[in-house]
Amino acid sequence: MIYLDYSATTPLDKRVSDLMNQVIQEDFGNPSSIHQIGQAARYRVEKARLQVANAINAEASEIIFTSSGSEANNLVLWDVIQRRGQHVIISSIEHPSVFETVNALKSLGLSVSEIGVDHFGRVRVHDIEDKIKNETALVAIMTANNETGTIQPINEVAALCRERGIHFHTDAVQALGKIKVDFTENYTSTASFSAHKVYGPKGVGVLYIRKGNKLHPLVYGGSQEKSLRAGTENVPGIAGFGLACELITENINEHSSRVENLRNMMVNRIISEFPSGIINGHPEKHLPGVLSVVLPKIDAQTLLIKLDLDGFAVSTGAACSSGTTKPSRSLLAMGLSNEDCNSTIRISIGKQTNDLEIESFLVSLLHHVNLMMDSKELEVVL
Amino acid sequence: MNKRVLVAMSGGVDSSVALIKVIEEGFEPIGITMKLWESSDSDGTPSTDSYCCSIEAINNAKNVCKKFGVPHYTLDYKEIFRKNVVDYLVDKYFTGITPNPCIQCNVHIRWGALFDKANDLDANWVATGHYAKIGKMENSGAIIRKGIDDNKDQSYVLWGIDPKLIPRTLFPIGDLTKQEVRIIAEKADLITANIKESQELCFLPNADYRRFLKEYAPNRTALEKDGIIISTEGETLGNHTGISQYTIGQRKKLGISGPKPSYVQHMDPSANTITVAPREKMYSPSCQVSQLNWLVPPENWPSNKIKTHIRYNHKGVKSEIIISPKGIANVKFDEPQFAVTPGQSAVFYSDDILLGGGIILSGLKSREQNGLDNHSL
Repeated sequence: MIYLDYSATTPLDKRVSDLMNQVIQEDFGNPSSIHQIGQAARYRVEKARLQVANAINAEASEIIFTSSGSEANNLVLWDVIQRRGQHVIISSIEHPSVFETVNALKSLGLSVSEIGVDHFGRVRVHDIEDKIKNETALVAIMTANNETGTIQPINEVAALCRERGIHFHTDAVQALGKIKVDFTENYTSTASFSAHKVYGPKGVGVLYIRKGNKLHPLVYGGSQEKSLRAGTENVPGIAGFGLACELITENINEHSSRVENLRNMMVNRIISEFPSGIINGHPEKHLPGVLSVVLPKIDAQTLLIKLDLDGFAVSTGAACSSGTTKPSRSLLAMGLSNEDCNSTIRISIGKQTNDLEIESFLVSLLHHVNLMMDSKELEVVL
Repeated sequence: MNKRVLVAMSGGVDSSVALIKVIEEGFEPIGITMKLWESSDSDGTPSTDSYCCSIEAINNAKNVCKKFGVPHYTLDYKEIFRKNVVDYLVDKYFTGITPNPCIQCNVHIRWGALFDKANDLDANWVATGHYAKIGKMENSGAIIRKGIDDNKDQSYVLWGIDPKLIPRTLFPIGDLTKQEVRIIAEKADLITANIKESQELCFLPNADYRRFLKEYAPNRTALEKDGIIISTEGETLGNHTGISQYTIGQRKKLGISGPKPSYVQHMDPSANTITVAPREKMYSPSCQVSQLNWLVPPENWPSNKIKTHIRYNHKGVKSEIIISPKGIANVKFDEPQFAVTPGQSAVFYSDDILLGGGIILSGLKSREQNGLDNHSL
């Protein structure tokens, strides 16, 4: 199998899995224990905290480990209710762990404004400004979209929120490891991250909490993670996340330009072969290595199965727990028709992707799309 | 001819064993679970009381496929299902007709959308876990026979399918009894080996169609008027709470008392009346059947000894069938049948050969007596 779905998840880096195996075997202690076995586990957790902090130019004290990016998003959004916040603003392309959470919180009295995006899938800062009220407690805009890779103007949004004294949260799960993430200049209040998108393990996330911001816990019952997240730490997972952060930021520029070149190679071939194809998202402001393309009239679900049977793993949109497909919210929000959404495939590449893989993928893709287009035309003639 | 086969896998034991059988027979299977319905409670939260189409069912199907190295995909057919099966069902109930949605589902989903997908994926075959058999008849080509397990035979729900698709259909467990299927599943240590059998309609938790109508079609339920229950002589006996809430042959919850139990004999939506009758008046000597579909055309029937099944699990009654030029079958039973129900399927067999079927138009009374015009249905 050739894996071209890095936005869904990434393979574990060998060095990360080696470290995790070692920690599982040797440092099994409870980091809260007083003895030296506990101290060894504590060392792993705190080292990882520093590694994550360094990757985003933050301080270790600003890093809280969670079980996932989704949990980190939930923690921030539930805090709004706990501090009696009344109104939040989110974009229409947020991850389900943001939009479904705020929808659920409506029943507890939260009012929610959802702002749209332009046809590139970018939010407009003035749209957010228009929605801000005295009661606005939080604005949540993702750093980059998971389906199109479009990068959002979060510096501007963060500046606006700072000026108005509003908590600004960004879901940076997709951005980490692909573009530089650094909140020192832009006054983001909180941000969420996930290990498995950066060649780390599944089941570990991080919430960055800018110094000076106070939150309420989501999981009560222990003093772990400054009492913000009770539960004995996932020590091997956390250690793995730490190392993954160190490795991914090592040569981020080189890595980014390499995958971006591979992406552009795909774009050129696909568009020259199928001029009716449309690349979703912003032509420049997008994550390297993420390609969302509409192949008009092609049933993306069928194409995905054909590619999979040929040994190429791509996606029609965001990975969904039941494995079913429904028109993507993000794509609809950008103004795509239902038909175009159902004709969209996402190819996302990463560290291990090479030219040869892309070449053989393109052969398979072009073969199937040509055949499918021919049979469509035949249908029209008949 | 390629050996690629789409195996419709519900996450139950029957379709899991169907997969094992097609592997044994040298086919190249692809497991497919069709997401047809999202069970949700009235407040919109996902319901956990229905196994069918649930995440658990889908994941169990995936698990079985993975065990044999078979790829598995979930296909979302919720819209097609809603339009062709659920809306059809609801519509019929509100017009006093008792539908069988499984027939529609097979026509539009398995021998519809799934065969379309088989064409798209260059698969010659579709396999399902129905208890039925594919056979051959000299002058008619591929035919459907009853499954060998009498208690489980499911050929009744297959009469509506396009006969051209029979040669591309596989019923890998039609030669097995349910018990044999379970034994195979247990031997193979399948996660689905001991999944509880669901007898209910997949999208009706607790088999409560009345509750479903209220939740799914609240406006239509609200618009429906109470009416009167009358005897066959026209005497008012009580009140009903809307025709959709009753089915032919129903005895319970009628709210009327009398020396003998009464059964719903007839429903008249235009007059908004329900006629009840004592048991002896619930038998009809014949019925009329429309929307006929023949899997074996009448000119090729092996004999005139036809048995008609008028509902699922009905044991069948010898019948004489005369087909009018308008395509209506007049079915005369050898002995009168209880509660012949408009909307249910009349399915015709010669021995174990499924000949075809249609939808029952009328049965309990002749059209002169009840003033029913066939064309109004």
